[in-house]
Amino acid sequence: MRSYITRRLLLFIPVLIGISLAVFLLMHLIPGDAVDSLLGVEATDELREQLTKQFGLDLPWYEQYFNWISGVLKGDFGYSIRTGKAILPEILSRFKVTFELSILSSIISWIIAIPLGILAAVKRNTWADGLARVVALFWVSIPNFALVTLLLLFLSLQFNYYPALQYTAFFDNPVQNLKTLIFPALVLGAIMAGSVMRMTRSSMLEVLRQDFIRTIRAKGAKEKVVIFKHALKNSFSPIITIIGMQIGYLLGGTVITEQIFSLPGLGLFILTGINQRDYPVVQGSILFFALVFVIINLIVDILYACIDPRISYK
Amino acid sequence: MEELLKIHDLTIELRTKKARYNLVENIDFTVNEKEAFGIVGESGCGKSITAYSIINLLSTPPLYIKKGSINFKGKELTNLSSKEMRKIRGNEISMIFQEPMTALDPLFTIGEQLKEVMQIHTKLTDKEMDNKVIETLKKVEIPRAEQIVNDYPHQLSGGMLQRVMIAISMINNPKLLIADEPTTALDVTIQAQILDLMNGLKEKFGTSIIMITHDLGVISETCDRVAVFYGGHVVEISDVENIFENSMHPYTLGLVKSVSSLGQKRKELYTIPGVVPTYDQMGIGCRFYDRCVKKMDICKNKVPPLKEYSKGHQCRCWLYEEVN
Amino acid sequence: MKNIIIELLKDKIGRIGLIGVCIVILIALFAPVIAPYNPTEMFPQIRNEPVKQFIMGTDNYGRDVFSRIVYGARVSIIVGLISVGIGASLGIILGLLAGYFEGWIDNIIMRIMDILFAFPSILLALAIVSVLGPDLKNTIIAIGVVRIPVFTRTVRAEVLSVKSQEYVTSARSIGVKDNKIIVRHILPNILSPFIVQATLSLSSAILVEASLSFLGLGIQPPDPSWGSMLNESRKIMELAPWTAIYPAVAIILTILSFNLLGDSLRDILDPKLKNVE
Repeated sequence: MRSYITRRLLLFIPVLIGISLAVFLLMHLIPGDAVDSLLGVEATDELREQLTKQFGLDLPWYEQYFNWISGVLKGDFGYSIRTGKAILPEILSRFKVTFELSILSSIISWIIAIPLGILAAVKRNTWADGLARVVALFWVSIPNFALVTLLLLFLSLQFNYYPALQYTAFFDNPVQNLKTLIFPALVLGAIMAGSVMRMTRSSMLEVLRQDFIRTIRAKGAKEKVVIFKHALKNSFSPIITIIGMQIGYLLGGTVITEQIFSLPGLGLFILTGINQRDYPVVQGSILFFALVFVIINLIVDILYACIDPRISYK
Repeated sequence: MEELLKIHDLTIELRTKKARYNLVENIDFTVNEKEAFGIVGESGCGKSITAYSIINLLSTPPLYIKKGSINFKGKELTNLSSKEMRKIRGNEISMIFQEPMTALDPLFTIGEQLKEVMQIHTKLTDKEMDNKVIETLKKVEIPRAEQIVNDYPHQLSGGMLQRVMIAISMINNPKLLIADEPTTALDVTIQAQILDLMNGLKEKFGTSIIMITHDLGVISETCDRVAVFYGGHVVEISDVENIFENSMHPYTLGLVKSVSSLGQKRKELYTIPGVVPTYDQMGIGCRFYDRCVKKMDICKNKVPPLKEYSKGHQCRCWLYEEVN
Repeated sequence: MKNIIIELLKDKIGRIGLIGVCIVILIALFAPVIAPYNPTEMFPQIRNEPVKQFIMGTDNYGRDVFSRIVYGARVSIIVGLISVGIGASLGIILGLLAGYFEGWIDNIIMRIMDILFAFPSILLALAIVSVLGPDLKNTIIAIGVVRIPVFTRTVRAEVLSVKSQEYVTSARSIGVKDNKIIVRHILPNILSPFIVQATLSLSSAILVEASLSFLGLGIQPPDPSWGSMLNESRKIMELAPWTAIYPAVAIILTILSFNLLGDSLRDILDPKLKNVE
């Protein structure tokens, strides 16, 4: 087990280097110079040169990368071109919002999806199963922004209701915080629920077909034991995989949700960065998102090994 | 000898959207106490679903018991509630399966899986269960039992896993063990060891065994009596010695001939011509009609009755009926 | 191929999906015939309610919503087809190379794919578009790049499994050339998972296009895109709900159709893919 985790962590290093390189190179493909876009056309050559030097843009790309990555390793993500503020503290404070939103919506989706998935698998081919499947398929097809727009429209026209939009940090005012987040979290969670439910159902069905389930029934175990102790535990690996992938989707999804609800999260930070061509901000935030995503996948892999003794044995 | 299990007129039906088919029909046989009873037949002859129906492990839907009785120690099993049936499974009647590699839950240790069946049926303390686990593993001749309880199924070989399965099924001292092709998936040398072990179970635990197999060789090594299944019918029941020397049904004759031709220096192996009809192609007459070398007119349209022709020897064939 | 369509029509879900997809494609093909007006033409009647002249009303600039929806289908389908085409062709080549030759080629390709996979797809598309600049061409490139790893993985896995089949081993053992083995034996076998993946990718590509345009980083106004129409309507949707409802419904129905079709195809063509989301 310990050697498995060590191996996974070692494999993690080249991926990190690759990701940082990818983000860096991508940002340096920018056709228009960042300095140009910052200063506008009427700036003097002198000022332009000065700024180029200040940002280290006159160095060869690999030196720029090296400077950037050694800063990142020390926790220095650079400074915003627009505001001149350090990027990492801003990312961290904004990530709190994104993180809270992601966790809340994940929990909501699990509460909805996992019991429904189990139920659909156990009652397969009944009307309840059929209904659950169609609803789930319908549900995964709805883009969140379309759903949110329609929902907001419906609420405002029918009930004259507008969700609270002024974000408050959880520790300042928990009630107000939940009030602002619950609506976006419900929307994101409901959308995730579709695929989690489909995955739960299909992996439960797969497990329930296996030979060892028959053995457990032949032992005289109650159906409750068959389903919750054995089948559910065996279906967890695929369910965790989809949950891991979902969190990636969720991180992407928050960009849109935060934009719609004007939540000051990391997604909105990136979007503002893109619109203002503030490339150190975009570079840093995307790297941060990718890191979070990779770490989540790492956690998923380690969870696998905790559940399934066959994995660390290989 | 006392009767332990008596199956009478059992018919199991497959219900599809289009039609209903009798997969097995009018099954009749009796298993006595401390007896090893064999069921032999080709794949698809209904031997496994008959066994599964005893402890109600049929996949319902689409399979249903249509009629008949399954009587175990005077109790009618077909009428039991699922709660009452659960008390019998793994306790009074237990079962082992063809594929030991997939028959155990991969995420629990061997010890946990053995204990589970005691937790369901007994009130032993944890310590008592631990001791019983080791003791039973030793009885099924598993070496290093103390270490193996902490292993997971993927760490053991197929032969070992089948021993573990046998231990799980025997740990509550059941009256009846149903073994569904327990050696088919194993290497030949391991097969012999497992069969030896199962022969010993009758003495060690005083258990009756129903041995389901397609291999007459297995029957001859382990069983006292045998029922031959063909196309969902019992075609012959007899003592094991008798079946080799005095087989009556043309199908049994063919089976015995194809086995006995194996060891001899002959140019060609004996085979029964044709294939088993599938459940949707069954005629209304004798199910062996198409492949039978001794078929008569009556066989085509009328199923012969299963009748006792000498003591303990039953057969279902028109050849032996006076009417002809 | 004919059998697949027959099977699809037998399946209720497949039938609905196929009909929906055909309708969207027909609308896209015949947009100039179906749409009553030029999608960028501005009428003096702004935010007009749906009436006979404008069956889905007009938007904030007096443009006909129905015509914009119709041309929006064209944008969706074009972006979907071309970007999936790019992603699929590159993915097939890389997947074949990786799966067939294994070794260091496989290692390099798959590590690069791992890295691409480390970015949530919309974020990656967002980053690419932000670098290249938002327009139709760059939206297509961004979405295409995002789809590459999915196809590479699907194709590689299939190649590896086909390769271990005995008929390929025996073809190799009698000295059949590599490129012949790929064309003769491996390509036909990856067709089924490929079709399934392509259908599901189309729905995902259309979704990403709509999302990017919704964020203002995809198709730029005044060109019609369902995503940007929805974005524009956000400020005025209480006044003119039709400007939000119709584009939203168009996106939902289109993606739903592709998903239904993909789901049904998956059941028909490749039961073992059933568990891969």
